[in-house]
Amino acid sequence: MKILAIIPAFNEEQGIKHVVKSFENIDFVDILVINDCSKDKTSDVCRKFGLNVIDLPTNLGIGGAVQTGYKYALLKDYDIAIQVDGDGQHDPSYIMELIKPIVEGQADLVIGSRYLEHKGFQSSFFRRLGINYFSFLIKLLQKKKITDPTSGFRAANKNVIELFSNRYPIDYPEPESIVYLLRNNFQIEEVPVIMNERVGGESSINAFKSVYYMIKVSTAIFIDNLRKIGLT
Amino acid sequence: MITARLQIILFIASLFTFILIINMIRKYNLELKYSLLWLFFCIVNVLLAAFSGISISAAKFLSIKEPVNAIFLLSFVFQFFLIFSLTLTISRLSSKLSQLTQDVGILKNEVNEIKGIVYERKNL
Repeated sequence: MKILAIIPAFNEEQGIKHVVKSFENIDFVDILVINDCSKDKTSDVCRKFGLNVIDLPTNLGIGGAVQTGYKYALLKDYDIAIQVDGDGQHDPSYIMELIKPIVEGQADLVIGSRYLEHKGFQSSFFRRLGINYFSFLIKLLQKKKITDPTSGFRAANKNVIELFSNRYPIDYPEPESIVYLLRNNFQIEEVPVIMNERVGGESSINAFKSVYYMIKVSTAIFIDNLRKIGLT
Repeated sequence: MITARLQIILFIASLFTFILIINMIRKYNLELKYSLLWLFFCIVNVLLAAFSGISISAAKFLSIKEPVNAIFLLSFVFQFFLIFSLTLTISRLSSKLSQLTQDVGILKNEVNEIKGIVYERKNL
């Protein structure tokens, strides 16, 4: 099985070291870092550790960066693509559990959820409020309970890789992409994972942007719901 | 005062525009990110048309005699912000395009190097 770990990184010269450390004993996964036009030494740090890096010429945001990874996965004919955050929040030792439903043919996309077992770093109160809201929205519109719709720790099979290569939301892509997949009758499963707190760098979401985030993603989800099945 | 007829016309026109924009986004012809202001504008128009009290209060607040004039003024201001946001987007895009073009130019040069095209300066 060819497996690719897509690691989007923006100004993560500190975080990348933790990512490298966490992947230490995991040799069955190829690593690809997508350097989203970082202003710091992210690219140099990656090269220093011998990581495969794509340096984007302009900043695309998380959506565009991750989509680059999916396009690469499609090009190189990977069977499974896993999204891993570039700040060390995700633990690659969960990868075997994460890909299990895909390997067994039970799911097309598997999401690593912090909230299935409520262990480990659980995010701030406001973040959880937002996450519960999107969980509720997805349950309402697509009748599927997703406990961690904003999780960036996800594994995708070939069909999803191809779909995402062609179309992936440009900002705050996680909830919208879930609705997009559900609408097209893809199977999504969640597995419990423990996430760490962010080490170094800055989160890309702040207070004011949160409001924009809520409005924009809600609208996007509602409009996606209006699209017919098969309109990709 | 704003006549009932004008209200109905404005209501239908704004609602129709709103639906049109949503439909274009649905068909992937418009990017939601850049359409949000337009959608907000339509919603405000629908509310203004439906509830004449809003335009009357707005006119009073701005010390404008006719509510219709207040609507015009607010519309102009909103259009200013809409167009300015487009200018902002164009500026960003322009800068990104520059960067991209330069990168491609340099890439082409490197490809030539790989192809073995050697640059040897010749004197006149």
